[in-house]
Amino acid sequence: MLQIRHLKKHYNVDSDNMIRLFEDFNIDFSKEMTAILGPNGCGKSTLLDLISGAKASDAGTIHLEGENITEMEERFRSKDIARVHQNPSMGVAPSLTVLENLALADHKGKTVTLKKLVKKDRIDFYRAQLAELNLGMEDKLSSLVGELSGGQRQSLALVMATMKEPKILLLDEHTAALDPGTSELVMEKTRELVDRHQMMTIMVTHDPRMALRFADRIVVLSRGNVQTDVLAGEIEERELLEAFVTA
Amino acid sequence: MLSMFLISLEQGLIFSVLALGVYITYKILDFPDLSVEGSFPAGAFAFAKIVTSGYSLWLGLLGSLLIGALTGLITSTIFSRLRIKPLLSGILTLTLMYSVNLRINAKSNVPLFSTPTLFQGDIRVNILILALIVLALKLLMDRFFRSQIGYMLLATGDNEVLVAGLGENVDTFKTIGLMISNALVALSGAIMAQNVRFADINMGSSIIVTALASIIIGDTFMRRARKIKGTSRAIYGALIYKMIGGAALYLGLAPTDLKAVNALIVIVFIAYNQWNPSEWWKRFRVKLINRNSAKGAHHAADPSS
Repeated sequence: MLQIRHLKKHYNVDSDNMIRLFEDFNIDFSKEMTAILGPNGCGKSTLLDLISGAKASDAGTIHLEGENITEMEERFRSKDIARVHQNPSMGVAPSLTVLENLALADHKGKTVTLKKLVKKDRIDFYRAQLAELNLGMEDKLSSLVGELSGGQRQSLALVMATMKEPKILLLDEHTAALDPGTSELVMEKTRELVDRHQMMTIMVTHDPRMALRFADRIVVLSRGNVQTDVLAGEIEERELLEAFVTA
Repeated sequence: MLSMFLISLEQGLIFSVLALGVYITYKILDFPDLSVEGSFPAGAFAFAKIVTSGYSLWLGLLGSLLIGALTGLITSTIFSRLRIKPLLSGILTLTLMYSVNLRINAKSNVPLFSTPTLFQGDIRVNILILALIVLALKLLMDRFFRSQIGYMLLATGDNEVLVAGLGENVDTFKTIGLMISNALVALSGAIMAQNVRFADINMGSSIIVTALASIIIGDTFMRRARKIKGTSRAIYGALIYKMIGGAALYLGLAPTDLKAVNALIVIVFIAYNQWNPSEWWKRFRVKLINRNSAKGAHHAADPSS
């Protein structure tokens, strides 16, 4: 369980353009896939930044399974929290091969030494992880990631993010930069991975249909407040579109 | 002709060590590190101080490596702790190192005529010794970049967000990279001091251009050879670069013109890398067609012409 209590986040403090994004924000997340929707500037991405530790809150607390992580640095939180970004290149190292990227992800949370990173006895495991995507990427272990398509790169980023089974998976409009077909495919793979690893997943998206189709719970934010919070089966597409437009 | 070739080869091997160092900051970390202009003479001066104090050649080389690593650490600290931009961090460090270098021996030029040296009387033997040193450094670097720390360093240059997401401190790897880079540059300075038999306060001046030229030339010549590692490219580049410089001298250019030749080599190779002949031809054709159609329209509108 992830509990957010009395969260406060202001931007441009002490200036004429001060933005009071979150004033007293409260929300809980459990082991399900939650889609966060809302117009630009409603606080979707800031919420992910505050959860991942990329940004610090002005006040309030964040507890993950009872542990207060509010003051914890991003790199320490990353042991439990993985994030996939909108840009497919942000979750991978493009000048390294697929194998090297997977080996980096496999090393997450361990001390780095002068020992070799890529271990031969792990290659079959990596291949199996890629095979589960059904994208034929298991045969591209030695390909440079920079030469893969956006969809393949984002799928690889997903595999890398979930390899060490984090407690929380944050998806920051991770299909927005892909074409509709690839976006659909990546979303299907995302849902499969989430189900397989039983991860708490918080997905920021601008696509209400995608949210309805793949998420368990839908939260619509409006100016730093929760405007709608329902289970995906309890809301019609028209109602969600209305909530989204009026947010 | 042969002696010019051998001298260029010898110098090229010395500059290969420099290029290997700058390869880390320029190609891997994408960090414009100008502090190498301070660490190159620092290596020479630290070496000079140690060997003129009666200590061994090897201790002198170790001293140069250490002062280079320290220079990298200073740049990294200015950059990461004070959040000063990489370019300015490097400039501040090289300015600082100017005074440090003068302090080391309390003079701006130290002759090294009767001190221990790697270099023997025969230039062929010198080339062999240098080639072995360069090969050993290259193999060590290649092995390092297959290690966990090495890959994190590569990934840091590639995508800092990923490295932070893996729970690592990006600044740690930048510091490691800067320290190794400057240590190699300082070692190159120490070897150069032995080769020319003196350490001079100005020997680092525009050395960054030499290093960049080596890397760019190596990349240009090996553009299609993807299997060739970056370390090998830097070495090939340094050798070719010195050969071009040697050829310029052989053709009658004054040694004082060499800096201009160096800058021109970099400009020409960068321009060549950015020049896309098919794209240029396409644009040229479009321009030609537009001009002809404009002329045609003008003739049609003005039958008297």
